[in-house]
Amino acid sequence: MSKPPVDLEAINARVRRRELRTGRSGLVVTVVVLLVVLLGYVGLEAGTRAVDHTPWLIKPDAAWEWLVGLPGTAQVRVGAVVAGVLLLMLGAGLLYAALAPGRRAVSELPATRVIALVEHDVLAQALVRGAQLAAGVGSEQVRIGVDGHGVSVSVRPTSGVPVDADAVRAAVVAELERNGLDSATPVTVHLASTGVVGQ
Amino acid sequence: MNRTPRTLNRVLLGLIGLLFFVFGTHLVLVCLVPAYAAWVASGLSSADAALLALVDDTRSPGRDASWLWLGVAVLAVVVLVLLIVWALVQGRGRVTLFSREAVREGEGRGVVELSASVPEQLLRQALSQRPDVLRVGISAWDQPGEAAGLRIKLQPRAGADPLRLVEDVDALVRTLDERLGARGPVVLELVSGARSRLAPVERVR
Repeated sequence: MSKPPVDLEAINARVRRRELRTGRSGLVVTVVVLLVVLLGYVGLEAGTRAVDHTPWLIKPDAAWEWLVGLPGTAQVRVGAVVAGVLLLMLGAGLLYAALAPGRRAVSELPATRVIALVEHDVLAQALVRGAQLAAGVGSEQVRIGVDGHGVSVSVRPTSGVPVDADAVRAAVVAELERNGLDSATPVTVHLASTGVVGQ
Repeated sequence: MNRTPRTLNRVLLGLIGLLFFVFGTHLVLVCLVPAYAAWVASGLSSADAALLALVDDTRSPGRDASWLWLGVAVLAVVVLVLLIVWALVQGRGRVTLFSREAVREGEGRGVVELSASVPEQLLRQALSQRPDVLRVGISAWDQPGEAAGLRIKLQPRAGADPLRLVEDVDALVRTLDERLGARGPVVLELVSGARSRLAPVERVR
């Protein structure tokens, strides 16, 4: 048995496209659990109605009448409105999940053979040292966040020792560049106004 | 790298979302906007009358119940089963076979099969000794090429150099290609986790 030859480049392009986005499988499982409970109940109630048994919770006929008779049949109108708003928000959330690009929080590093993806958290941890050395502070005084738009650095200076924000920015950009990432990535440096004592 | 049906997921999630959205909007509007309630009232009441007539016509003999209810129950169960199937096809595609090749040697011929544990063990051995790697996870996934796809998940120590790790794995995979004679797509993921937050920071390079 031999599979037809498929170009590795073509496979890699497809794999890369898939790996950079989420497949929404977690959400699907949640939605399925919800709908299974809902449909299980509907099936149960319809089944008991079919053999003309006493309804389990609500007789389906009554539920339909309630729905058709709205708003007059709503005993607590606020309850119906709240339920409606909740359903509306749930639906909007699902629609967003279906239509949004769903990028994963990863960056791609240059590699020749493998598809190398780095989680933004890992990248942030790797950038700490450069920023810390440029600022002349301890690693616990530097906090770095990376997202799809850029890098944000916040430094809590040691009390009485000034920190050069531009030097920190340059160090982080250099570190990004050294890791093969776009050096045009916006880097914002925020210096805390209160210092840390005893470092 | 798995076989999750992504387009199907998006389409079905969108449809379900639309359904919830429309029904929720209807509930809110019918309670709060009298004009909307009046507008839908005639349509709903005629639908109600048609449904009542239908239920009356399909009454099963000797009972105060339409057999349509049974149809509704069966339909609910069928959709329920389809939903469960949909949930079960998520994330499939893991394989235990890395590659399979027919070999002709003189008169005889045979098949060479490489288990997925071969590249897995080789990579794990090479990577788990590194001081800057806390955890190694390797899995093989079905791909159309000559070999299965490999997913290498590494949890680097905080402060480890990502590009250095990537370059080393890159070279390692090239060597593996040479030794095994079959190439598939390889995804290297550097992930963070509880261990990378708690373990001591890497200092010496």
